[in-house]
Amino acid sequence: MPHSRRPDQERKIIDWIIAGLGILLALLLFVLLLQYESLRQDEAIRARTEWFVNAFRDRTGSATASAATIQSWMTFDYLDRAFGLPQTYLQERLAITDPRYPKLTIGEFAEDNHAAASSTLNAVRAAVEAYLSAPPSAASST
Amino acid sequence: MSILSALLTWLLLYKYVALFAIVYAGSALLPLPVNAALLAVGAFSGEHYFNFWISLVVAVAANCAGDLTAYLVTRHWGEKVTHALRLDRFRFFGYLGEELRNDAAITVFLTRQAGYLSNISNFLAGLVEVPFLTFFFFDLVGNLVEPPTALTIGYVFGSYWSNFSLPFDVATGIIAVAVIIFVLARISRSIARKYDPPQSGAGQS
Repeated sequence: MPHSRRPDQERKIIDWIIAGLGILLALLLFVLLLQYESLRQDEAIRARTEWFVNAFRDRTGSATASAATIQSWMTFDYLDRAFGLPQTYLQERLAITDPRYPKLTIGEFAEDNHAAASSTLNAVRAAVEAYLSAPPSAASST
Repeated sequence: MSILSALLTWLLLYKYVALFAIVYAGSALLPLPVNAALLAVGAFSGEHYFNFWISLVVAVAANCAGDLTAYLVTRHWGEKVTHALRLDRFRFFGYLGEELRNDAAITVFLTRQAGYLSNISNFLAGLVEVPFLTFFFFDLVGNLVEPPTALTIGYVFGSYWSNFSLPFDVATGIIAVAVIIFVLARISRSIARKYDPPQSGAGQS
């Protein structure tokens, strides 16, 4: 039975593709290693890991997120839950009149006020930071 | 506003309904940043905005439903598509179908961890008629690995979840490339076995 050359050619092509993918795989592994090192050296990540390990062991406390992590896509009811804010705090502080509150994003609030998203975001962050830095009021409820 | 920002807003507004819709659409067809969304939901769970276990069940169920949708669509209409695109003319397509059927368990399981390769493998599995129960079982088992991993990373690292989005994508990319190498290597070996010259003295024609 005559042997077709085509399967050999097919195998060669496949083997070359495998070799190329092998190089790509090595590159991706290298990139992952770099990212792992970057995460390992990140102070915030390390602090968070230590907090979590301690919280897991002692089952005490809750990590309060930093106001710097607030983004425009976040809703006000999420901010209330994440930062332990009273439900009307941000509404009063920022004079929010949109009836959708608290199911309103920071970005939508900026559009309501025809304000720049960045300045509104900074105002929200400042309001949250002000609450976090003030002493908690007695008998607060959520 | 980016696609991810829009998805995150929907998650905050519509919670588990949005989670199901996003994960389902991402696994069925659309190239959505599902891993990033799951990392975020894990973080939201840590802040008690979502319940971790409900999120896990919803994500796994949505993933399986989306995978099965893609599989069943090509299982039902695959032959017409194959003829229309003349895929059956290509010998490689035959090799690929044979390999996917022979190693269905491992390829279905591994591609669940391989990002967008999962979508492609769903369609191929239906096209080459991987048995339904084999596909369903290993799809379910595979989906019990990636979504919980993403949710847990988000839960642990909270508001820093976005720092893990790119490494997570790179890791799934590594798995995808490794699976493709595995499949191609098996096909290459299969071709060699079929077309290797016979041993001398074994008879000649």
